[in-house]
Amino acid sequence: MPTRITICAILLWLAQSLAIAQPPQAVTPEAEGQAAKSLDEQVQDLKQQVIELNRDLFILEEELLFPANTQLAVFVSMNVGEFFQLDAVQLKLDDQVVTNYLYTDKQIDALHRGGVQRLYLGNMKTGQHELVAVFTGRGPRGREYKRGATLLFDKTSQAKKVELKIVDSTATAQPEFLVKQW
Amino acid sequence: MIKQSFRLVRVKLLRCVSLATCSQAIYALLGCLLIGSFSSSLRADENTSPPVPAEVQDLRYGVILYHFFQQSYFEALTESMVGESRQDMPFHQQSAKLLRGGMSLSYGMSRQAEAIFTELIDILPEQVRRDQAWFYLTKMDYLRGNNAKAKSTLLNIQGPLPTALEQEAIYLKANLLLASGDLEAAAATIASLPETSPWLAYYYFNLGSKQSLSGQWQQGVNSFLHIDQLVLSGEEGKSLRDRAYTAAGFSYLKGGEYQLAITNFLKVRLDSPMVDRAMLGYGWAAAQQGDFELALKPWQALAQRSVVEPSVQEGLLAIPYAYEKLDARGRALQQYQYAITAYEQGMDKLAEAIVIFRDLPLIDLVSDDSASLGEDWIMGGDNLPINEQAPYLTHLIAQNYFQSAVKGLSDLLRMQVYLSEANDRLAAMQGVLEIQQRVWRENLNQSQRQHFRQQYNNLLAVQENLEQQQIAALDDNDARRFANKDELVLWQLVDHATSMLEQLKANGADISDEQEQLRLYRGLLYWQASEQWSARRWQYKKQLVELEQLLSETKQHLQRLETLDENRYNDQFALRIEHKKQRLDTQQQQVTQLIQRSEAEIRQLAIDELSHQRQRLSYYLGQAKLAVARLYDAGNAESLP
Repeated sequence: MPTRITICAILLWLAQSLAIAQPPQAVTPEAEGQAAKSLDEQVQDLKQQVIELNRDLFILEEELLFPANTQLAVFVSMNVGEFFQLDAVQLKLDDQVVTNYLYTDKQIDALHRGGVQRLYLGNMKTGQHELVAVFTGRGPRGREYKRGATLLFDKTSQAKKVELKIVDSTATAQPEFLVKQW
Repeated sequence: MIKQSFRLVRVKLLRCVSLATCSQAIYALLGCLLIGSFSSSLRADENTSPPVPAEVQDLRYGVILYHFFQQSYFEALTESMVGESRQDMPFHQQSAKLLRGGMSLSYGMSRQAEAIFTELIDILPEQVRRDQAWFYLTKMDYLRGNNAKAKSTLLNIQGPLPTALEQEAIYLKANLLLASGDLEAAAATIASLPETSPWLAYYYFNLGSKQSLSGQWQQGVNSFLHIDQLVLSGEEGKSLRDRAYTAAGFSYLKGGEYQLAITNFLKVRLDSPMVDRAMLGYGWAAAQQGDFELALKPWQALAQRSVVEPSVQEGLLAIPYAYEKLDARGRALQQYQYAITAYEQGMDKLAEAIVIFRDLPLIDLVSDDSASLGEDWIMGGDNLPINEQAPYLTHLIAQNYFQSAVKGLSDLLRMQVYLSEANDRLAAMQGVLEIQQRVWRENLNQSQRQHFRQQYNNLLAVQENLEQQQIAALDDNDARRFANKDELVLWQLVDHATSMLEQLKANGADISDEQEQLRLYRGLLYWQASEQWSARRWQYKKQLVELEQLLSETKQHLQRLETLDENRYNDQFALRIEHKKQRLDTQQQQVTQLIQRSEAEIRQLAIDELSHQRQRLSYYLGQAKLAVARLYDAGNAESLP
């Protein structure tokens, strides 16, 4: 008995070990695999359909709630960000606070890696407006840091996009807060 | 224990076990590649560290990356498709599509991913990106077990790929060669990987397993032990080493090198998931040497562990076997009876678990609440309603097909949440549209629009008249055309006086002095008008230009009002909302049906697994009972030593 059990254990063990780097088919019972595949295909199709519906809703929302002639979108990006650890952003439009945003570590990481956050999407009349963004966080040497960036802009009948950029100034070893109009 | 299994599952997911292996780590790297940092120093083990950021040139693409780096694939995929629809990513269009292919794969949509990569191969202008697309197609074929197709697809890669992908491509190629039995070519292929490559350990493990299974025990051992010489870090590295020691131990055992087997079994960490198997193997190696007292040590330690583990189940039989060999048949009988009790208890618990699983709602299996089912979806079961039964499912949970099924259910539940949110969004849009339409009806009806249009037309007529006057003034050079209000009064007085003088002259009056005064006065007015003419003409022209601008703006406002109004009254938005509502209803029904089907499938998989374990326990139980009967047959139980 022991020899048989030992061989059995070894073979089972090795077969299972091999599966570490093998495709699932190597260990999947065929019948179960077929059933799962069929369901899996349906789930895949449904996911695609839900994403397409979400895309269409996104577009419809933009057109209905934020038409181009009044649309204002504000984005946040970060380039390097060694001199500033972002905690939060407050956005004011014509002296009215329109958003206060507190960042998670995951979001900060995404910004560090080149992601751009859509901070605000709203409506504005055509004409002159003032945008003020206040960034709070930790600056050089870990000190509390609070800086603002202001933009006077003209809202035309075209959709307006504004990017708030946090960049490192190597010359001053300080963060810089720039505003770019797209 | 269940957490350890989940952790192993995660380790496996991060490597090449299933389609989900192309998940976060590799796609984080893909993301960094796509935004331009093709750093040659990048290694696969650096995947999780943030790459050097590069400024994106399309905001939309930046937003996609923002979601992607947070592994919010649904949002990233949606944004990518919106971008494609809007065509607002002129600089990153192809990168976005390549990323979408990767994310689709990560999001469990391999068919969509395959379609995207196949499409990209024909349109990507850069060879390096076409190679990336070929790489992922190869990987998908490989993971589906379609080795022949994977081999031919791999040949399309002209390379070199970005470093991390290049290493994985080499690993894939070597594995394909291994699978086809060409060990020599596989060895030559893998030789191009640097010693620091994380893929080497997996290759040597596969090689060792293949050699051992074909009876080449010593070669298998060499391959397993090669892993010990590699640079491996973190829990994953330790776990791989434990697996390698255990596998090497069993290979030595089969090869008759019992002491070397023990040496390797002893290297396995005590808190390793492999330790049960290592202790079992240690015992058998000692037993094969005839040292049953030594064999009892690991087996008795093993017997203290949960009976759900196959190694423990076997260990429970091995202990009395050792006592028999030591001629302690009374103790052996006692241990067989202990094993019988343990097996019966295990079988009762399994029977109980099967009953529970038949009716258990499985939604909680993948989520402890209806909130986020993010990256750690499979860890969501800390509050499993099947906690008592969970250890029995450890083996099942580690299986790819079960993981796929649970992931499918998890994704479906997420879809249900998205659809519910979509329902709320549609309702909100419908509400906004109704309010907008009411406001429009109340404030800007058809007659009001016509009135505005009429006013605008009147203003245009006035403007035209003024322009005509300017032209006439330039033509006739009449100084009076730019006269101001006071001057016009004076001019009227002059004209009136002239008329009066004409009448007096007709009546015979002498008006020569008055005529002279009037001539002087008229001359004075002409002189004043001439002096002001240029300045007034410029002023007049300027006012006309300003008027034109104002009218142009008015025209734009009017047109915008008319367009918006037209849209509202055409009811296009209402139609679109209604259409999306219908799609939403259909999808909600589909997701409900698929959730039910998915739950039924998972339930059946679990029940099958539990039944299989019950059968195994039943087999061991039978063996133990036979042994007891055999011992009783051999002599009076009371007389057994």
